[in-house]
Amino acid sequence: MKGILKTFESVVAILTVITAFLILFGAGEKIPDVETVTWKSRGFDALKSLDDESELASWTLANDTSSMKTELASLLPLGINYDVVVCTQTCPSFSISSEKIATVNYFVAGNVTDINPREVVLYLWRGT
Amino acid sequence: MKGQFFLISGLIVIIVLLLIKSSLNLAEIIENKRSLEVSLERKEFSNIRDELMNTIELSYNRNETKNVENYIVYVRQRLKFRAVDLDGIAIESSFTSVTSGSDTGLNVTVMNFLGETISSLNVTFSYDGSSQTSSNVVDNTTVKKDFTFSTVSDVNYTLTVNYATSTESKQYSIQIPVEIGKSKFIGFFDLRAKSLRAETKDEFSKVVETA
Repeated sequence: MKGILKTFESVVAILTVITAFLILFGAGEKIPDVETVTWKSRGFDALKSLDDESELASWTLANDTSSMKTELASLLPLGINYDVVVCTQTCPSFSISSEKIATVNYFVAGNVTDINPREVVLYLWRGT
Repeated sequence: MKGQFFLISGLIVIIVLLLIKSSLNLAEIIENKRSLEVSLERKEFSNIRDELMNTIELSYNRNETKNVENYIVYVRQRLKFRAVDLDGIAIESSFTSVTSGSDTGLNVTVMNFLGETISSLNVTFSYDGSSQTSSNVVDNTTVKKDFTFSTVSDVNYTLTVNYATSTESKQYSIQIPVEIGKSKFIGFFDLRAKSLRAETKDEFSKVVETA
């Protein structure tokens, strides 16, 4: 009899804790994803920094995304995967398989020898 | 006693959960996220504005007006894919080397990218008070107006531009700084970017000396 009561009390305790957890942290209270917005901000600052050093425009016009990626490595947060594409009238297709993706868009007017606007798109994601 | 221990432990866990919950201020997190997003949109708008200025600087003596138009058309088109509307008006004026006492032409180009038709447009030049009008200037098109002036000394003229659309009417007063012996390009822009989250606006001008 004592054993049954003990079991009953422990079951009541577990159920109470689960109910409290669901009420406090249930689906209705989804914590907003601030991380990807922070990635975007860091990514934008990284591209701006490259632009301020006057390198981004020439790499963009030459579609030299490898140089961009090399320089971005030291400017972006560690542990984040990233890739860059340069858009003309359209953007090259790009596919990533991840639940957390952020994209950063940056316009470049061109340079002294070639005034030709382009958009640089930086993809940031976690996972493979 | 041991069974009650489970209930007491459960109560302690609930108190801990409540403490965690109260420390997680959801409203603050949402507000923080929103302010980060708005700040990012401002940065993106600054990028559009800075590169427009850059287009003028890079264009030195190489068709500033056409390059500015190409830039605006391109940026508008790209932003459309991200559900961002870039609307506004560009008023570009230029004159070639001013010779003292001789007639000099002032070429004015107005580009409408307000996202709607300008029903009436009026451009007035303070030199002689002459004005020119246009009607039904559709979105993404330009109109050109030519004026003439003659001066023997450096002077600041004013170009007054009035427009009306079905939703608004507006007036801009643009300074035209004339200097003897100099050629200039004066760009005035009213840019408005509207996304689902925010609306950013700016009116600015850029004056460059050309050869």
